[in-house]
Parts: sequence; C-alpha cells; structure tokens
Amino acid sequence: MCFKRPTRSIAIVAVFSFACLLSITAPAQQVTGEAGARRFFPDDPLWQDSDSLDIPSVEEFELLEDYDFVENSFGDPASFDGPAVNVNTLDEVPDSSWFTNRIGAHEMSPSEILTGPNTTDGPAKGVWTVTGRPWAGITPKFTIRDSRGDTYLIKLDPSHVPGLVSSAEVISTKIFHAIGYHVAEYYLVSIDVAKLEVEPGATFKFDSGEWLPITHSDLEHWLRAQPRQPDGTIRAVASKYIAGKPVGQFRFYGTRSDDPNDVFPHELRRELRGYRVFAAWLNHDDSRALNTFDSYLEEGGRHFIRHYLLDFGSNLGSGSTNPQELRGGYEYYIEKDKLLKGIFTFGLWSRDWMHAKYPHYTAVGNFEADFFEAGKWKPNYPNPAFKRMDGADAFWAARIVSRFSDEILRAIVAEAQIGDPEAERYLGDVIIQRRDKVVRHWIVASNPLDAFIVTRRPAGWELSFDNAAVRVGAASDQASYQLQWSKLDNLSGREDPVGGLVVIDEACLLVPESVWGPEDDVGDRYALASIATMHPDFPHWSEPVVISLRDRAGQIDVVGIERPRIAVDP
Amino acid sequence: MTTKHRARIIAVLALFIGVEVSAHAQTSPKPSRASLLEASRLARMQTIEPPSRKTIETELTRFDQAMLFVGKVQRGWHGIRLAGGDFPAGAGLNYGIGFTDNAVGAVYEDLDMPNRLDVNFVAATSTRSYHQLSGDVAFRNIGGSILNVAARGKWYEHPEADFFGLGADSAEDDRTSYLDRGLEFGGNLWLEPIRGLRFGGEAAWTDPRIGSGQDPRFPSTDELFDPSTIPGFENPPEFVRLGGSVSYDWRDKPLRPRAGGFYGVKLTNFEDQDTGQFDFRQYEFDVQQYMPWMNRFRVLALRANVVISDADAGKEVPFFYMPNLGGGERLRGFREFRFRDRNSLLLTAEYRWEAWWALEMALFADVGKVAAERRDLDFHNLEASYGLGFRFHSTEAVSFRFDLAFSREGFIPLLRYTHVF
Repeated sequence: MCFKRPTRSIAIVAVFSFACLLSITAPAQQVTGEAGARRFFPDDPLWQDSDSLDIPSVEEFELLEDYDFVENSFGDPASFDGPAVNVNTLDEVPDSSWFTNRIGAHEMSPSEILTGPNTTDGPAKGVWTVTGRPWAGITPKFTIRDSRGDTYLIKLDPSHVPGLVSSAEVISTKIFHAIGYHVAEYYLVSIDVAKLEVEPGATFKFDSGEWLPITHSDLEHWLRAQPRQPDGTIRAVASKYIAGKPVGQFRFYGTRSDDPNDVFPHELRRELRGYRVFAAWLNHDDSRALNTFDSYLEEGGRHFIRHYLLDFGSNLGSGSTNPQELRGGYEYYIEKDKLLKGIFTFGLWSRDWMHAKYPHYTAVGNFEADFFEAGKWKPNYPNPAFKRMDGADAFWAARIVSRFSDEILRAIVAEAQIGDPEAERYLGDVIIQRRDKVVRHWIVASNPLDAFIVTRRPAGWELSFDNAAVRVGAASDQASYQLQWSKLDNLSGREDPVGGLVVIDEACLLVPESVWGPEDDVGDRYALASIATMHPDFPHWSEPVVISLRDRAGQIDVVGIERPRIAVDP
Repeated sequence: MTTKHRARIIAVLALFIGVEVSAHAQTSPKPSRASLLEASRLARMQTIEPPSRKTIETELTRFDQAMLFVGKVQRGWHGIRLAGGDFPAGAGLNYGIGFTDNAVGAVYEDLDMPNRLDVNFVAATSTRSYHQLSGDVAFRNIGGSILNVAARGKWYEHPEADFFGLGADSAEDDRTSYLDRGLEFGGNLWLEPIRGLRFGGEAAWTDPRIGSGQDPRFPSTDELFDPSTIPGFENPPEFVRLGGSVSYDWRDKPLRPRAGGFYGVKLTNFEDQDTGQFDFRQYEFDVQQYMPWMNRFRVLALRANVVISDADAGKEVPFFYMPNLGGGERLRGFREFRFRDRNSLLLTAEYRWEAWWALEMALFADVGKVAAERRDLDFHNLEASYGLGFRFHSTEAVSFRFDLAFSREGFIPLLRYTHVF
C-alpha cells in the first residue's frame, strides 16, 4: 500500500557522500561488472563540505575584466568536462563556503526569506559619514560609515530611471540568498542629505584621474539630480561591506591555486552550473566572474575564503545605468553566425527578441516573460560552468526555483517599494511567469523522479518517490515506471541484478528482502533500484535514475541518487 | 591553468574515484568521506602557490595600463591637452595643443549650472600644413536664465582647399587647390525656452584671404581657372555676418538618432565691408526625420537640406561662402567640395539596421544638385550616390563609421568619427 506524501517534500535522508564516486565510477562498473572502489562511506551522504580548513593568509588577486571577456568569448578556458563533482551521493550540494542549502532543503518562513542576508535593519539612523567613492563599477555610488561603525556602499539609481537598479538589487539579493548563495546585505535606504557628513581626509578619484578631497559640495553634486521622495530624502540601496579581507573574485573554471580548500574545479561545481537556471529566471545577464567576490575571513578561529555573488544591478529589467538592453539574456556579445547574418541579410533577418514588447514602467525596465525561453537564455558572454550544465544540474536548480511560491515572490517584490502598484504587480507577474517557464523547461530535462523515501510498513519496507515534472504541472500524469533491483557489494562496487524488470504504475513498491548485497566492513548492506520513467511525451526519461538503499542494523534509508547525465544545450 | 596545477586537481579527483580511497580505507580505523576530503585539502596545503596570470592576460593588463596612460594624456594636465583642429577633409593627420576649462572655478561640468563659464583655446596643425589658432569663451545660463552667450576668434590657413569649378557641370578632372586663409571674430547667443526648441543669433567679422593652392598633386586654382570668373577669388573683402536661427530637435539621441526629428531654419546676412559688391543673404533649411520600427532596431532616416543664397542684382556671392556638395556628409560618392554654387539641394535616405549590438549598418542613397539660380533647384538632373555604411556605436553615440560610397565618379571609402545625420 502506498501512502501520500507532502507534494513539496524532498528526499529525506540522513547521510551523504560525494556523488563523484557514483557518477564517475559506477557507470564503468555497471558496464564491465568488474570490482572497483568502495561505493559508499558510513558518513555518506555528506550535507556539509567542510571547506573551511584554516589556511594561510591570501593575497588579493583581481581578475582583469577585458581578459575575462576575451578568454570566455574566444575559447573555453575550462579543463574539465563531465558531471558535477561536488555533489553528495544524493545528488545534492552540501553546505560549503560556496553555498548554503536554504529553500531547496527546508521550508523557509516568509520573514526568513524577506530578511535574506540582512543582519540589521540597515545603516543606523543619525549621521552618516561619507568615507569615499569607489572607482569601480558603472553605477553612481559612495561609501558611508554609520553611527554603529558599520561601513556601507550606497548605490544610487541613475537619476533618469528612479527605482530601477535599487529594485533589481533588493529583489535579486533576497532570491539568490534564499536559493543558497552567499550574497552581501542590501538595504533600501532614504538618504537625508542634511545628515551626511564627510570624514576628514576622505578622498575620491576625479574624472581627471586626480584624487581630490571630498567636500559637502561634492556630495550635493553627486546627489543633485536624484529625484527626491515626498519627505525630501533620496532613495538608494546600502550594501553592507562583507566581513573579511577582499581577495579578488572567483572564476567559473579551475581552482584558486592559493586556496587549499578549493579542490573542485569550478566548472564542475553544481551550484555554479545550476546558477545558469537562476540567472535565466532573473535575467542576470551579467553573471560573470567580475561580479563575484572572495573574502578571506576568520570564523571560529579558522581562516578561509568564502565565495559571494555580488552586484545584481543588471538583473530583471535593469541594465545598471539604463533599462536592460533588449539583447540582454538573448545573445552573447559575440556570436559570429548572427553577426554575419546581421550584416549580409541587410536587415531582412532579425532576431526574435527584437520584436519583444516591454511596458513603460521606469522602475521595472525591460523585463518580460512572453518572449523569454528558459533554454535559450544567455549571459553577456559564455560562462564555462553554464556551458557544462547537464540535465541533473538543471533539475537540481529547477526544483529549487519551484519552491518559490507566488505569494513569497510578490512579497519579495513588495520589499523593493517601487511605489507604483501597477508596476509592482507587473514585475511580480513576470517573475512568476518566468519561474514557471524555467521550472517547466528544466525539470523535464532528465528523468524527473525525486522525493525518494523508504518507510516501514506492516508488509515490509516501502520505497516511494514522486515525479517532480508531474508535480509542478510540466507533464501530464501518464507516467509508468520500470524498476530493476540489484545487489550492491559496497566494497567492490559489484552490482548483481535481481529478478527482472518490474513495471509499476504507482510511485511506490515494497523492497524485497532478496535485493541486498553483502555486508561491508562496517556491517551495512546496499541495494540498488534503477527506475526508468515511461512517458509518451518524454521518451528520454527512460534513462533510469539509480537509487541506492542502505540497510544499517535493520534501518533502511536512501543513501544515493544517481541521475542520468543528459546533455543540455550549452 | 598550469600543467602542474591541473595535475594536482586530477590527483584530487582521482582521490575520489577510488585508487587512493582504498588505501585510505585500509589505513583508517573508521573510513569516512569527510576525513578523505580533509586529507585531500591538507595535502593541497603543502603545494599552494599564488595565482598566476596567463601570457595574454598579462599583456592585456599592460595594454590596459597603457590605455590608462593614454587616457591620462588625453585628459591633459590642468586643462592643457592634446588637441586637433577642425580642418576639412584632406588636411591629413592633425595634431596640436589645447586648453579647456569648462565651468571655470567649479569642480563639475554641470550643463545647467548658473553663470557657467567655459574657456577653450586650440593651436593645431596638420601633416598637410593646415594651421589653426582659435579660442572661445562661453557664458551659459546667465543669471540662472535660459540665455547663453559666447565669443570666439579664429585664424586658420588651409593651403590645399579643393576647388572643381562652379556649377553642376564642373568636371572631376578639373580638381585644383587654393589657399584658404582667414581671420574671424564673433559672438553668438542662444536660448532654449523649452526642451528641444532653440533660438540663436550670431554676429561676426571675417577677413577671408584667398591665394594659390599648394597641393602638389593638383594645379593651383588660378592656374586652371580664370580667377576673375570665380567670385571673390581676387581680393576678397572683409565681411560682417549677422544671422539668426530657430530649430526644434526631438531626436531621441542626437549623436545616434533612431527616432524623432530635427527641423531647423537659419538666416544669415553677409555684408561686404569694402565695396558692397558681395552683399548677400543665405537661407538654410534642414529637415531630418527618423522613422523606427522593430523596437528601433530598424530605422528609415530621411534628410532634406536646402541652402539658398540671395544677392541683389549686380551683386555676387563669393565662392568660399557658397554651399557645396560632396564628402562625408553631403553626397558621399563625390569628393569633398566637388560641387559648389549659390544654391544647393540635398536629399538623403538611409535604411539602417542593427546588425550587431555595437554595429549598425546602413544602405544609403544621396541625391543633390547645386545651381546658380534658385529656380533651377528642382528634381531634374540630380547627382546621385549610394552605398553601404558600417556604424560602430555605443549606447548614446556613433563612435566611428565606415561608409562605402559609389557614384558615377567612382568609389570613395569614408572613415568618419561622427554620425552622418
């Protein structure tokens, strides 16, 4: 007898190990039938990748913007292909200095999501002391220190598009934080010019290249064109300085040679490959290495590097200094074939996105959902991790996206305080529609079974699962399943099929006692269930998902999930 | 990624795929994934090295630093900067030194700053011996109003100015050169009561001087033509020029228009300060219209420009103040100053399409004519040119354009750093 589970539940398991063990060795073993390495460790699956070993001091290494563009536009700088390797045996990303499981792993309360990364209520009221003006970036900005002594970067909206960039920053930060990335704290603030003071000795780099002392008239000039709110203040976002020492950015390939904790090539990191799905959803076309941030910090007496995503000013309909370019999200800066077609067809050929219609909401910019196609979305130039995203990465990301409800997304949009109900409603609608498109496109990319649970029933142990694509409405409920049991010798990796194919219509079945392999050196036994999904609309789902069950002293749990590595368009 | 670095990563991955896992499992009393990972990190701790840059990245870094230096040179020092002259095409490579101080006394160059004072001086020369000394001073937003005034002075010498004869029947083979030298002082005022609507006025004293051309490739004008048949060639007088203009500009981006239009009328009175023989008036009408579709990725750009010179009976219009056709903006398939007469008509159409995010292309056709009499300024016997344009642009402006122009006189490639219209 099968029991219903909550539809939003995900696999509930206790122990993890890294799936590279499965994904790299298992197929070869299955083909040859020969003995190989140990498959599972007692502590599998890991939910925490402890990549915060105490490391020596690291020097800042700034990436060069031009080079990042060149090396990614005219080549592929990454060295490794294949599946993501930093996932645990349940095909999930453990918590690390790169990612912390949040909405994908557990229910988050609305207030948790809306609070996001923020640890305070923003810069303290009272006098703000202006301490400098960074030269980097293209949005107008300056730094302040509040009365608590915290330093913030104040980012102003371009005066001709009030609310555009600040909205994009606030909304995107909360969503990316809820997804699990490390992001800076962002606060929507109202600047009272009368309460700005200049720190003695504060300087800024003038257009002439000279460093000049900041004066109050400089402040007035920087803020001169900014629209005033009814109370005379100026809307902006304040980004709290990230703790630790800035040591540069991370690339989307390779590892950082001075960071011993950085052992997985970035192009093989699941959270960086799946980032493509999130970036597509929120139109983060500037999702490149230059908009990342590495901080060398101390926690619990250990020094290590934490990796952040930064600068969401070119998200949604914002293009940082203007509304998003209409090309944004649809085409790389350089695509030779399109360039040549553009030249030699004399304009008779046009890009589809050139026909897209956008509403005229200043604080929303160029953001829409009708033309958007999740699978065709592109950042400004190729990203080696994005190019390597496979069906399993996409499925992982799409499932996280599906966890954002309409209500929470509208609440996040409301946090941006756009001030125009119609624009706010439109922005919420588009984010929701794009969410649906993203989820529906990517969740069907590979065999979409998930939520594997083993439950003790009177008749024995029952394995149940769910079809995520059916659950989110991306596929009709006409699936049937073919299951093949195998014994697994954990120490040798040997698999021995047991019985024939079992065809089931319901997503649950009893685990036969005959499917267990021999005990390993710690007394655990393992069994494999290879489940193919038969669906008339998705023939590629017949590539099975392989579930590993473990019997530890009579207690059965799911210890491994291996998803088919189906390629997606790079 | 260095070979050494890559080898280390492969070693780490190998650690996970079994070989060393077995060894670890045998030596550890309680095998675990976490300890395996920790061991790999501890091993890596022994081999860390500072990040390095690839050769191309290092070279690009140097290039960026060089460009920073170039930018610094271009920005100048306390207003002193490298500067070029506003010479006509054919002057060769031009270079010089300038001084600019916009918004004197202020840190920022706010266009709407009350009583803003701009000062600009240029001394420039060129590889073909064109010279220029000029200066202008502008007072903007006087008293916080919409009124702006400016004063300017300029001495120039163009030793290889082109002349092909007067009228529509002039011949390409009759290309000659003459010396165009002059001194000019003047002032103007302008005000913009509403955005786009601009009224202007001008007063100037000019002292043009004409002489034998020095272009070694072509004969001097006075060698091929009878100077007495060219109005103003011999002993040109001093002039006082008074003019007024009104225009309305609603182009979306004036330096890269894709929508909107520009409509302008300019009236100028030239008064001969010697004998009065060259008293005349000139009227210029300019209409530009931009019709976009497909989110402005396609644009039909149209322009009509008419210049009419009006002299009383017995009076003449000096050739150097006559409108001309040819060159980079006006009838592009013909050389600069190819056609010259009292009156001119120019009609231009461009079909522009966005071929790439930074490249707009254009198919263009120019037709036009010059005529001695206003009544001949009709649509008969128009000269025509056509071509293909490549316009590289930023969001706001055309950075440079490369137009390939054809006409009955052949093919002319044009590289220009301004948009055509």
